[in-house]
Amino acid sequence: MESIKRYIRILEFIAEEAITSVRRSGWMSWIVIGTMFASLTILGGFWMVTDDLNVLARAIGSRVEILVFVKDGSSVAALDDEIRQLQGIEAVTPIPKEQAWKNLQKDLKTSMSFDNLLENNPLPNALKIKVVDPKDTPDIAEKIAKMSGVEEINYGKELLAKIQQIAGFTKFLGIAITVLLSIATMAVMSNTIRLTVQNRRREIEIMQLVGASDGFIRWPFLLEGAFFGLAGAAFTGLFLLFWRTVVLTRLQDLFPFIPLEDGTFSTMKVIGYILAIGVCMGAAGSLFSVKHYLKQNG
Amino acid sequence: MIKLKQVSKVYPTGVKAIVGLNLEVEAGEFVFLVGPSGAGKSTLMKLLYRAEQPTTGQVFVGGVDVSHIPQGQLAGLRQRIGVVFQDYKLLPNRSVAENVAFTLKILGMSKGDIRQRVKAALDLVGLRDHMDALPQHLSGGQQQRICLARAIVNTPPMLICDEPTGNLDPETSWEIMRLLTKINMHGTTVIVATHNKLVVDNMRRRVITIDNGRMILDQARGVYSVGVN
Repeated sequence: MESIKRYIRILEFIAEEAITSVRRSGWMSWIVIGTMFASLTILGGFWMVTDDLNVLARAIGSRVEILVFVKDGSSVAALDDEIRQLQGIEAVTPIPKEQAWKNLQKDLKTSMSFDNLLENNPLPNALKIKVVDPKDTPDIAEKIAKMSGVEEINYGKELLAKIQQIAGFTKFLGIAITVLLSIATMAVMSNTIRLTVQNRRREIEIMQLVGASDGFIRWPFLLEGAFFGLAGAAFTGLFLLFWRTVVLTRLQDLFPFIPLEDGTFSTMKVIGYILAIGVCMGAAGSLFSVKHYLKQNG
Repeated sequence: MIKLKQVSKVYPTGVKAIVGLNLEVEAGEFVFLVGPSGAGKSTLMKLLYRAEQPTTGQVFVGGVDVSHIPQGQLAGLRQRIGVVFQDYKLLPNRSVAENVAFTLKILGMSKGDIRQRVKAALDLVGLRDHMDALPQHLSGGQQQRICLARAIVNTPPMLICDEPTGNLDPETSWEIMRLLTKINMHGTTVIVATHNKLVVDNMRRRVITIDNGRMILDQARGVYSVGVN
């Protein structure tokens, strides 16, 4: 029981030391917090941009439709039914050849009357199909192509492939940049904290000489680093929230055709990650520099 | 308590601070370490609390070869040795009481015990009225006494003092010496490195004289004989 109490008192003292240390760091703490803020904002900002790009890619992807041209003389209704039975179909809209003809007229914006040609309308009946997940489009298209009564099928194969390629690339780029930025942030953090350790090297030396273990010296620094990380990350969080809720909302008002959806959830997710990363990097960076120092002077 | 076997210390600069030193100090002894500046006194003391490691030989403190203990056990060793440093080594920006309490706090002692011990130690060195002052606002002699209070607050079995009267007037020097004698009478082994001839000659304790890193004299009830041929 007494030894538990003893450990609790030691932990209490370590926490006190960390708080005193934060209070005494003065302007140095603002440098550390500022550095952390800058690095994390780059990281968080990048995540949000990738997130937006993904939303954009999904939005464009979801607009891809399959157009099925029905053979002359085949039943449109029968094909419609057959397609509806496939999995992953969201909607099937028939476009009768007369409608297609009108559309063509409208698209060509011509005043020329095609009415006399109507008897020989060369356009086929068609079905417009919307799928639930754009990823399934090629598979579904292939299945429909095999059905009887299908003359031709069109679903913007190249466009879809390109979008998926871009999404894959941003994902890869996202991971690579996240790793690089994380390493850079930790290095910067570690170096900045090294300065605070250097500032207090005499104090550390004295503590060691009067019997403080390395762990005892390390822990307050670790807590201090975690606190700086959290503080820097909190500023980043506020900044990203401001960016999303004020700046991006304004931008969206100006460009409503850019589908950015409601980004609140993803912003909170990014902020959550940033806070966690801030704390971990602050603590780890701090630990590296103290460990390095203790190793040099042990 | 202390045993040095063929200890040599050569600094990276090539300076030979200690050369083939053999020394034994029993528990409860009071020993003066004298010698001219640069003789190796401070190095010898640093070897005892492992602020330095010997180049060759072994240093035993309380039966443990401190020159070869792992890093993890270093803190434990230093908690058992009280050290009065020549340059005080007080924590800046911490009050006198906080400086003295530090060694007790790292041991996880209760707040009540800490308060009691700190007061007692500061009473002993006559600094009770300066508990809340910052060390840098006090005189050299007072800082020396804070350092002494910190060294004895944990009642260690061994006390090492590097020039404890170096910055003190004769009267305070005597006070400190009386204090060290009192601590020694309670069973603590005390080792004092000093240049203070008056103190050494009057106390008539064991005197070890070092010169050029070698022990040249070991007197049971000796006098200060540096520079005397």
